[in-house]
Amino acid sequence: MSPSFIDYILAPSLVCLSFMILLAKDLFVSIVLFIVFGLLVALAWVELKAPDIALVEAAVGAGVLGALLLGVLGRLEHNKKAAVRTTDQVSVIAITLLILGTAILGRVLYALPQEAYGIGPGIRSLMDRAGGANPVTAVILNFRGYDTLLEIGVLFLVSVGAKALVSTEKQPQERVMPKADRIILFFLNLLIPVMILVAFYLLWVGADAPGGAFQAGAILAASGILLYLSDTGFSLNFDSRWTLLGVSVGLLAFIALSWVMVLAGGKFLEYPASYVKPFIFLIELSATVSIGFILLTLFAASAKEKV
Amino acid sequence: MTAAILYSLSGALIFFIGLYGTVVYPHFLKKAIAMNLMGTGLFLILTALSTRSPDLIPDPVPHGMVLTGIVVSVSATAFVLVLGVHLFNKTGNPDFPLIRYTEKGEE
Repeated sequence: MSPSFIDYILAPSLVCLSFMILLAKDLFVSIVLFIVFGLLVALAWVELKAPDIALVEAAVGAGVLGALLLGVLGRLEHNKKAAVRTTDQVSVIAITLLILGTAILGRVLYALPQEAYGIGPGIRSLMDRAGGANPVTAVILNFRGYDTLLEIGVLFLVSVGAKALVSTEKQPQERVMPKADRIILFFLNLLIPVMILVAFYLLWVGADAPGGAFQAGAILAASGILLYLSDTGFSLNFDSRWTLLGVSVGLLAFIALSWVMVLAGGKFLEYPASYVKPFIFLIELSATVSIGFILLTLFAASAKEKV
Repeated sequence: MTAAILYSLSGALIFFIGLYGTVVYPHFLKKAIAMNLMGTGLFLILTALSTRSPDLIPDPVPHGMVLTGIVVSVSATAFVLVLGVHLFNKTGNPDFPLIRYTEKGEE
């Protein structure tokens, strides 16, 4: 596949941006450039014919991560600049590593064959049993479902860890009164229902077209973050039963559904042959809810003064 | 030069730039950003290599791996940020390690 004009501009821009992100003296500049980098990388994913990854990168990599970083920056004192580096000896070693490493890896990449099928044709021959037309969803939730199970487990663990750390902080006594702007409230009234609708649409359409559980969960989390950031008095109650249910339902449903066939004499993570699509949809639905809750608890734990 | 080579070389560069950033800057926010750069570089390499198939339909397995990777790296970064904020609240110092190196007389 020969690169188009955009590729010759995009790829070097990404490299330059990553330099600028690190060299920026002010942390705020670093974070904003990082968000820009995330959006340009989403463009690169589209150029590399990976629209599912582009959706996740834009929503999670640029959106949620950007909000997280900016929120954390707000909790640090601004007069601490981040341009300080380690000693010169360490810098020299690091730069040598950079040049050597890039040279070696570049040489290896150049030596790889120009054309390679990979497992693509194998996956395509199994798509009639996959429960949908989107091969990436089939790979994530059906053929490599084990990876996704472990991934949701990792997300759950991180959320538990964040909650544990937050519980040890002293809670301030006074309650902040919501003082939301009327213009913001007007836009929220329009935007939040549309975002929730788009999230569940992405979930539904992900079986046959780009989309799926992670994109949908990220948009749900983004709507929660928007509510947090608009001073509406919205906050996630970490001790509430609903939060615990939301955070754990993805992992629980996936584990339950992966053991169901074993009771009928099948194997672990086997789906019944005539119910593949409903199985996958149930797993994706609970994963969406969980991912939304988990990303939102991570934002609340790291970015807000009061939880 | 195919698109695969172009993007995978860029990915390799971005990975090592991120590695340099993780090693050299002590502020935890900068380390977290540099770690994410490393991850993004790796994902670029993976996805670029998956576009090499002759029938122009990319291999979906690396796409699934990268999808998982993005979500896991974001949650790991979020955990690092929670830990870093906690450390900053307790010690008032955002640097890992807690020794601050001076740059030619600054601070």
